[in-house]
Amino acid sequence: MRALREFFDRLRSSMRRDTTDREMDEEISSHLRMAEESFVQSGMTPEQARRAALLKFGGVERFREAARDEQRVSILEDFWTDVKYAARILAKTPAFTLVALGSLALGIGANTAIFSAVDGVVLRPFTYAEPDELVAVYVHDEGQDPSGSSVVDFQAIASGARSFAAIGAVFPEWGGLTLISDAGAEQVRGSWVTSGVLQALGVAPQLGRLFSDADDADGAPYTAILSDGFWRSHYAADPSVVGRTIRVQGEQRLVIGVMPKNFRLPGNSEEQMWLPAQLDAPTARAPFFLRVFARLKPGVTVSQAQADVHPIAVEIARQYPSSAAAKWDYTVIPLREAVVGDLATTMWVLYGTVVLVLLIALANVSSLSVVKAITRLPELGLRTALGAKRERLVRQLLAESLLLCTVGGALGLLFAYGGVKVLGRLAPPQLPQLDLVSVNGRVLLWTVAITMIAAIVVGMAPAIAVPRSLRGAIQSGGRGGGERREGAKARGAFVALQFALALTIAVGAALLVNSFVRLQSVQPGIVTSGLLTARLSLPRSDYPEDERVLDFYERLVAELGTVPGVRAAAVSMAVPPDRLVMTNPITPEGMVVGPGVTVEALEELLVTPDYFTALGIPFVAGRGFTNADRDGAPQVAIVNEAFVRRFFPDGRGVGRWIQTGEPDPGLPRIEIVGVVGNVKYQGLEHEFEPTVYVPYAQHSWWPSMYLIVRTEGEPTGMVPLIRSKVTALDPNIPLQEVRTVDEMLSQSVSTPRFRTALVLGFAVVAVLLAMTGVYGVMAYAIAQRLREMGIRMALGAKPADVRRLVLTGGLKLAVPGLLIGLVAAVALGRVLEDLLFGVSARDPATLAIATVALVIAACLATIVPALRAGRTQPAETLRVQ
Amino acid sequence: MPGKKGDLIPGTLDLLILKLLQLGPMHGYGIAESIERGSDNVLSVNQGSLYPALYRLKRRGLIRSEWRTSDNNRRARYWLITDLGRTELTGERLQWERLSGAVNQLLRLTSA
Repeated sequence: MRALREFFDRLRSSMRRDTTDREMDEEISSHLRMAEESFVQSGMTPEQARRAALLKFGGVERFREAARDEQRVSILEDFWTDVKYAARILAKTPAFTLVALGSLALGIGANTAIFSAVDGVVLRPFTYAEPDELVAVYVHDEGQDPSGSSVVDFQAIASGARSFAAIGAVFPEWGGLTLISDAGAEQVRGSWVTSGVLQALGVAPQLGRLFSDADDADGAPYTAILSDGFWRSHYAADPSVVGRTIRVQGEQRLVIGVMPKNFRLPGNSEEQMWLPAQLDAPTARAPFFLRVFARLKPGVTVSQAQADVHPIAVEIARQYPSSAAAKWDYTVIPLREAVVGDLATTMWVLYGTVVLVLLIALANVSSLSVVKAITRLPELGLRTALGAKRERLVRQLLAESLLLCTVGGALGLLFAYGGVKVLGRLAPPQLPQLDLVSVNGRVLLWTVAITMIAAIVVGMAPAIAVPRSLRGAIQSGGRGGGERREGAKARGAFVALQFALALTIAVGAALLVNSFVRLQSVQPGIVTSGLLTARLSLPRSDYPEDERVLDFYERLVAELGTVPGVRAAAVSMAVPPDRLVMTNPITPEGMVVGPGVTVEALEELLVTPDYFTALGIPFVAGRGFTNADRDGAPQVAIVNEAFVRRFFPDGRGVGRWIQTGEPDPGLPRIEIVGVVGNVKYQGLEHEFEPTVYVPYAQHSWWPSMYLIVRTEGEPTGMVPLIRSKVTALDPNIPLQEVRTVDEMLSQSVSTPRFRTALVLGFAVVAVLLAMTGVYGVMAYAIAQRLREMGIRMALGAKPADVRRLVLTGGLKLAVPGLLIGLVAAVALGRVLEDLLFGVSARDPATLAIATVALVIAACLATIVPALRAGRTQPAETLRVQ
Repeated sequence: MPGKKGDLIPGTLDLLILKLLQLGPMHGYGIAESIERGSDNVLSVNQGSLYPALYRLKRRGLIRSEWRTSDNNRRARYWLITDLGRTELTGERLQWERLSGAVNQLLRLTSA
């Protein structure tokens, strides 16, 4: 049996034989031979000599294997042993391991999640071809923010500019597109695009084709392109959808293509279809409602394109002299800037916060690992005395930190996957891209990188913090209890660092919370309770004349007025805080129009008579609109107080007149019949702007309006009744976006809310981590100083004294950190300036509150160790050596 | 490896090998014989256990090997100490000088 086994052994080793093996065999053979020879010389027979030599050698095979193992032990095998041993060690100290894993998972997970968001929103927001070549073209007048383009300007740029390989314009259907199918009427999100848009973006459809110039032409057959989501939900991903027709906005449209998954127009949220914009030939330069995108020709820079389009602006101003006074010009900016804009600040602030949280977590784990190393000094010393190699021990410690950080990192990754989904769901409407964010390859690489850095930091921490003790233990077998004093400084430094970082985050959170609370308490100028709104969109095909549109709305408002429970009903183009869509140049009485005088484009709002009552906007002077103010009657308008203050120094608005549209002395004069209070239409953080209201009955060319209903009781209960009234007038018109004004206001501040909530959440995590850190350090310090406590109490100290000692000990660790943190918070505060409303980044009250909160946190963390110290029985501790 | 009475504690063998090689290059059989002779046969080393120790020391860079022709014109592998090995020796010896008498006696004997 043994012979058989030896045979197989030899067979196996002969198969593994290489140079080193052969050399080793040769060496062993020569050893045995020399031993044999010496035995023969001392008088044995060759056979006896051979047996004696083998006996002296010991098990030849055994030592050959052992030698071979020494030669060819792979780094991998060694490492695996280290890892298994590390796992056992970590399992034996569950408290340490759990806290460390938890800290790492939180720190790394938060980092991964937010980095995914930063990557998806700021760094690489587009899936278009060569996104750096894409630009947006804005039209703007002197001094105002960029706004949309007009048809005149767009067509001029499209035909006149030489910098663009493709250019197109987009405008959304504000109320949604009406889709009629066998299932009834449905509202879908979509935009009108000229053919150049999809071409410029460079994304190929997954089915069918894109719009071509032919589809833009007047009289071309109606077409539509579907989104991937719509294709799946309405056609079950049927590939034969191309060529079918659908009825949208009253027209039968041919489906010509389907866009790939997750395709979106720049800056838009998810849409379901796109229709070709057949722009009517313009009769005037205004209105400005198009968003223009273009792709630069290869090699053309943004500034070159800017210089290219400027002369076109000059030429158009010449062609439309009444608009020249406003000094319209074009701005070309990279698309990324246009879309990401100030979201970048928010995202980077969030990312900075999680970096700080990660640092706190690392400080936590490092401090714990230093403590652990100190308690293991005796063990390390013993192992060295028993022959363990020094580098093996160091590798062992590193393997532990690597294992800890890798598992922590993996947990963090899991946590990040979930976190990203939650982010997407909580995303404010202004950050529509958040629901497309995912943990992709780049983000994973980043996670692996920070995990490795974490492992190095945590592994090196004991080496840096207690180098003398560690080296002493490993080199010379170490002394029993380990150096207690050494490492105390390092632990103190860690705690201070944690508190410094935690305070910085806490100050940021406090500032954001303060700012958000102020924002929410801004008065928009209307009475917001009990107010219901909805959007209605009348398709041109069913309502080609303005009169029919007006008729529909007037009848609806009249119907609703008779319903019990409805205090007032009206229809309007905008409701605060929804941004006003329309601006018009307004020439007030007394303004002399000429070169050098800018005629501003101001907010102009189309409303039905009960609008002011419904919204609770107070009247300051004059009268409201009545049903007599309609087509055929003299044109009238109502302005707000800001308007009067701006243009009529004597404070009288009623009786004056204004002209709307391109400045022209021949324009009809519209009489101001009333002045109302100010209302914020541009968002809560903006100032009140001058606003002009005109009766819808005199300007009913806009078919997509807000319905506003003020109810007696809870508004949402009235929805079915309102819907039935609409359906009674026209069953093909659905009621969309039914919300209360309170909900709309809440949504308008959803980005600040989102940002504030996240930073607040991170601040809480940061403070908890810092508390854990100081708790761990204090608990360990007390365990070390039990004897000292015992002696103190034996000498007459009361438990309260000992408790106080511990508490002040904890505070002494935290306070220096807080001071550093305060300085850092003030220095970093500048970053938050843009995001704050109504509060400065250096607000002393906020800083004070945050600091006090952390001092309390430090005290809370130290309470348990303090109580335990107070309960020390002197006799026991003095007995235990 | 260790466990039987009289066997060397791990670590000692490495030290002995280095000490011997400090005196000059040797082949494996020579090292084994020297250890036996030097300790008056008190320490019984399975001669084969030498080889894992030799390869281990080689991996640590403390000794190196050369193939030479031995006295009777046979090819044998000779082991030599390296500079790193000499440095190690000073440190290790200081550590072990505190341990058992047999080891000390051996060291004194071989340095004579």
